[in-house]
Amino acid sequence: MLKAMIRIQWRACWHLVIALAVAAMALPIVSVRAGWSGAQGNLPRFLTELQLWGFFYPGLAAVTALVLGIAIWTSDRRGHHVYALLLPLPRWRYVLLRYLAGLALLLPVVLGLWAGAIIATTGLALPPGIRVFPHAIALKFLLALLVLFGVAFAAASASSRTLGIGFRLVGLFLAVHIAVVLLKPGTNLLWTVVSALGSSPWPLAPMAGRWMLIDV
Amino acid sequence: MSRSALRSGLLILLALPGALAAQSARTWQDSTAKLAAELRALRDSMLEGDSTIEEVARRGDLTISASQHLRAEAAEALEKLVAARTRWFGGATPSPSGFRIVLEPGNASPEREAEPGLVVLSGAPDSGHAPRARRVIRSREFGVGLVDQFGEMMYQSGGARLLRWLELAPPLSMPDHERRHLAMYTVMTGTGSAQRECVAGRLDDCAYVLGLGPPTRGEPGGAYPPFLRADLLLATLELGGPGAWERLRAASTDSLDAVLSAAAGIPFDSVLARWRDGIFAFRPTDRLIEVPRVLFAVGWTGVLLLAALAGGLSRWT
Repeated sequence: MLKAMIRIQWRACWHLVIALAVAAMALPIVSVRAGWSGAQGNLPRFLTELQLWGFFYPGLAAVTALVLGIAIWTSDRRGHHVYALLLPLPRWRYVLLRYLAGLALLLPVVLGLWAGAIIATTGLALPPGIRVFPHAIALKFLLALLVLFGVAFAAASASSRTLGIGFRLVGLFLAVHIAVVLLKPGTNLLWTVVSALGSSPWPLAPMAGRWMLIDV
Repeated sequence: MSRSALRSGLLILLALPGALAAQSARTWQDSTAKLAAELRALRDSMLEGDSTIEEVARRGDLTISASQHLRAEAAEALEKLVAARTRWFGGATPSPSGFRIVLEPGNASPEREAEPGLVVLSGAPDSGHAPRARRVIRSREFGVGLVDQFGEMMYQSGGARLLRWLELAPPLSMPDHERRHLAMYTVMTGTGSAQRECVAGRLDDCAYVLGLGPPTRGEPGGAYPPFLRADLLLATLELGGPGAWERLRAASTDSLDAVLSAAAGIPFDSVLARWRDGIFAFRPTDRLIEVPRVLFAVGWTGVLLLAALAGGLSRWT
């Protein structure tokens, strides 16, 4: 059953998966090649540039999670869930199969990034003290992707009513944030919440920290 | 003017060089220094003619006084200074005559001017010959200003050779983690050949790039920036523990490596090796991700999956 589900989802989203995998593979290679020519003479600059490129990793994880999380449920939404209701399956099992098939679609993206990181760092004549982290960055990307995909999948699988309540709550929070900023300019509720969610043990913690493919 | 008056004036002018030569240059120098010190003391007392200035706190030979509205900040700043002084310099003072630091609050914000007032830190005996300094700084940064100014005064007293080598007063108020992290990046990303050899573990090259030894190769490349010398000095004082600064000052006429060795209480090579090890300890770990983070991420994934299952159960009902 899982195989069938993966096949269905692959047929629906293969072009997205391929595009994201290529982007994931290209990211580490481009980030290193872009600054490597001048690195021997100016290592701090190269590492600073690499750190800036590092912001693209969580960005790519977020885009991947969002795109695939939504794409997985598109066919069900379009068909008003008739297909799911026709299957001789409990609903929870159907959702679980969708989730596991979604995870399978994430794999090419993670493998693409891992391969790209290894290719980017192989053969570089690095001075002593400078190290490469292709495996660690791939693992960090996988963790970030897992959590973000969980968020996107849970949101996409929720009913329109639940989503509506969620959007209203987010809107209300933003309104309060703007009001607070206007009344007391030094206070930033949005940043406080985002920072809290990005620190351990909260869900966005895997996105935080340094995303360095090459570091000291 | 009569002719006789002109003649007597001319005679005085002719006699003056002889009288001047009679005074030795040393006497002139001493009296000039004395006058300058008295002038500084007079200027301080005039500038500090604020009737609300009162003693706020006293710690050993240090006394802090402040205008009425700055007393809380002054007391806090003194505590910071006492902690920093004890850590880096033991009980040493910049001069046997004491010292004095005057802080004046700078603009609190671009829109609002700071309320006038003063904070005065005196190190006993604070005589007219004591070194003095004045800083304009935001009142919430009094602690930082006091610590940095005190540090500058101390380095001035560490001998001309040390001062020339340092170029930059070590940033005492900078948090340890920040300082060592910056030092680590500066060391690890140096591109000169001697700098790379220092990273690889050659202490002779470390001595060269820190301005403490001769070059060991034909084209050694540049030295490390002054910030690293400041970091080395602070690491040395830390290694030497209580009494390190007194030992450093006592050895100030020796070569710089001997000065650092005396302060740390260990051979110079060991000082360099320990400093380098300390720098290496600040490198990011091989594991960019710690196990607890992995476990939390997996846990959150499970929670989100449960949420999705719950949503999936209810969505078609």
